[in-house]
Amino acid sequence: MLSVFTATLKTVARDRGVFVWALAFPILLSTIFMLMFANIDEAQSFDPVPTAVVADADWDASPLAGAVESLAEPDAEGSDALLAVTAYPDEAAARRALLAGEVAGVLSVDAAGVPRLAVAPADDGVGVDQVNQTILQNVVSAYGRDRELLAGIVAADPRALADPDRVAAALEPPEGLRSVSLTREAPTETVRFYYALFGMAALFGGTIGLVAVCRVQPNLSPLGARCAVGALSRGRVLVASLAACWVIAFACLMVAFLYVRFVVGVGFGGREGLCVAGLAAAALLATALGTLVGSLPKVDYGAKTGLLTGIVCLLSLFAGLYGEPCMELADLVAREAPALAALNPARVITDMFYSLYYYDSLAPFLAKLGTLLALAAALFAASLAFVRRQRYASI
Amino acid sequence: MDIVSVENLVKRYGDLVALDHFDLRIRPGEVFGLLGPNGSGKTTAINCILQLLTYDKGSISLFGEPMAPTRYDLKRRIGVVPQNVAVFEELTVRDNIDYFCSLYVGERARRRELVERAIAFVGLEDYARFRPRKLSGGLLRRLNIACGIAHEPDLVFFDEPTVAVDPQSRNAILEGIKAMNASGATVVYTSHYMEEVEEICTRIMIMDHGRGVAVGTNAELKAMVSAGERIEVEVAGLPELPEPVLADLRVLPHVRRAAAEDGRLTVMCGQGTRNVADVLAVLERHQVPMGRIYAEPPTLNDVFLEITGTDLRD
Ligand SMILES: Nc1ncnc2c1ncn2[C@@H]1O[C@H](COP(=O)(O)OP(=O)(O)OP(=O)(O)O)[C@@H](O)[C@H]1O
Ligand SMILES: [Mg+2]
Repeated sequence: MLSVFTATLKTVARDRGVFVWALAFPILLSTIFMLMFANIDEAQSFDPVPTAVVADADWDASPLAGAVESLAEPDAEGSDALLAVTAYPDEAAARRALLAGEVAGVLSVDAAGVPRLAVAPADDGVGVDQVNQTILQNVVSAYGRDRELLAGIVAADPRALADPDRVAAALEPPEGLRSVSLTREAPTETVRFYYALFGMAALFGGTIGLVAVCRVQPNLSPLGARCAVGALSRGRVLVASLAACWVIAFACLMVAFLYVRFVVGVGFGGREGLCVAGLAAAALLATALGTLVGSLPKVDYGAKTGLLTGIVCLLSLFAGLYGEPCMELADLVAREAPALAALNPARVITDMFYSLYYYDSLAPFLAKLGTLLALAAALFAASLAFVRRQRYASI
Repeated sequence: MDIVSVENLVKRYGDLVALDHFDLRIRPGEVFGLLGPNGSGKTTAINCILQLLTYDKGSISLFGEPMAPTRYDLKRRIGVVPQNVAVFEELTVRDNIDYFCSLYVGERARRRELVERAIAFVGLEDYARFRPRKLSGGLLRRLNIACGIAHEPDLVFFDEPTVAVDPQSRNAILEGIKAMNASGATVVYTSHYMEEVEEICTRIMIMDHGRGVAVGTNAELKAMVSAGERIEVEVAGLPELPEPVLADLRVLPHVRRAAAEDGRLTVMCGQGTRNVADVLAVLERHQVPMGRIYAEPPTLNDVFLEITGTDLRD
């Protein structure tokens, strides 16, 4: 069995189709993504947002002044300042700067102490301006929330205000709020592309299983017939070759993963180790899918490869690989037919990475991982039913 | 005990009857020839025996035991050299042989020895590191053979191993088969080349339309047909041999058939002591200009012709 394993490793690894689909394809596509998203990514590596404040008496009296000031300084952890503040003596001067495009927005406080944000009329599209405006809006609304929070504390327990620690604790932004809302939210869509890409790339790894299964099927190739007259049982040959397929599929995905992580520079939320585990499961599922397609009776090899490619493209479509309309479609399917989405392996793989990235809890990730393994088991079982027949009426 | 025993085998591909109540018995130590034209069912018979194909009727025993798809113990003793070269393009000559050998022999050290022996046996020492793509057709055939016999089986099926091979390689292959047989292996050899079968086989079955039409040793088969002699005469000067000449030949005591074609007269005779002299006397009487003259004992082609009424096409 070991020799079947190593021989499969050697033969399949040299198969050009495998090379193209399982290895070159994800690297190529992620490179294309990288180039496509270069502009957007630039926006995310942001400079401090140029902000005007109307530094009148109301401003000075408002706690917002202090908050903005602190956002204009590099914070204790050394991350860059969020805002670059310029003070203007009055509203009119600040507005001129805004219209001249020197600043992204004007912050002021009215006589009642309510903060106000003025931004320039929006352009079309997504660019630096929109991102900057969003940041300012977030700052103001976060401040508004804080104020409500404090008001709530005052109403419930006025004495608490005397305790600086409790006030500080209450005002502490929810964990990661600042970094999540400002550096994670915007790149959501691009990261999702890469995750969907992994879904597709993993499934294309199924080609490997397909090639290997077809090679040991007596009715599909003279080579298969020859292997079938050997004295090693069909089951053992299959298990050994599929194990080799899994190793290759996994290795291809690892290469793609390393490329996307370190060359393209996509983040995986610092959970690369778990990503690797996810990739291993994805490779297993892909091998199972390829095996099933490969063992379909009465379909010739060419039709099988076509079928597999078609299935993978379709599944990837519903995982939202091909652009925003598709992501919306994917979301729609997920809402309308949750079972379908939950069983679409491309989507499960995509979501698996997604959940690693977004949730602190590992439960969603583990759930997806479990789904993958269960799907793989089901696919293997189905193909076994086809492959078990030992003889053919015609070869 | 027969090493191969096939009884009443029927195999249909749809409407086509590829094997029609086919019987086969092969004894240990034989080089058994299955001789038949294209499509006569040789490969189908082998594939049924190997349980690669389902069949409609009949029973198959190997080594005295009923054969079944999962009889890996029996399969372990069998070697197969298929009609079409089937090797892994991506593996070297040595790795290919090792792979197929590993389907029979698990033990690594022993396999290494067997593989080297097989390489030497087919004379591929200089090509052990080559990929099949770089091998010529003849070398590829030899690799195909090495893959089938490396595990030193007791029973080997060679399905037309010499197709598209130059005479030198062909001789090497035939010598190899004889050597294997000498060291104890039983060989089943299919071909539509009569000379080959005549040369190496101890017993021969002639197949036609999925049935064995005659079985026996080379001599027995020839004795079955009454053909004693085949006389050929070059009559190059005459485009058409006059009909009276042929008529006179046909009335000679032992002559069965006489025909002229392309300046060559062929006369088939039964057993007789003066056949050549009689034929030549007729030709001289009609003053037919003669070139070279041959007289040969009948070939398997003649046997085939006589039994089936058609030429053995090749
Ligand atoms: N898979 C198949 N489907 C349908 N008919 C087949 C199939 N394989 C073989 N046949 C037919 O069965 C008959 C026997 O074929 P087979 O290959 O056994 O002949 P053969 O004696 O090996 O011929 P050859 O000398 O050409 O190898 C032929 O008429 C052939 O056309
Ligand atoms: Mg044949």
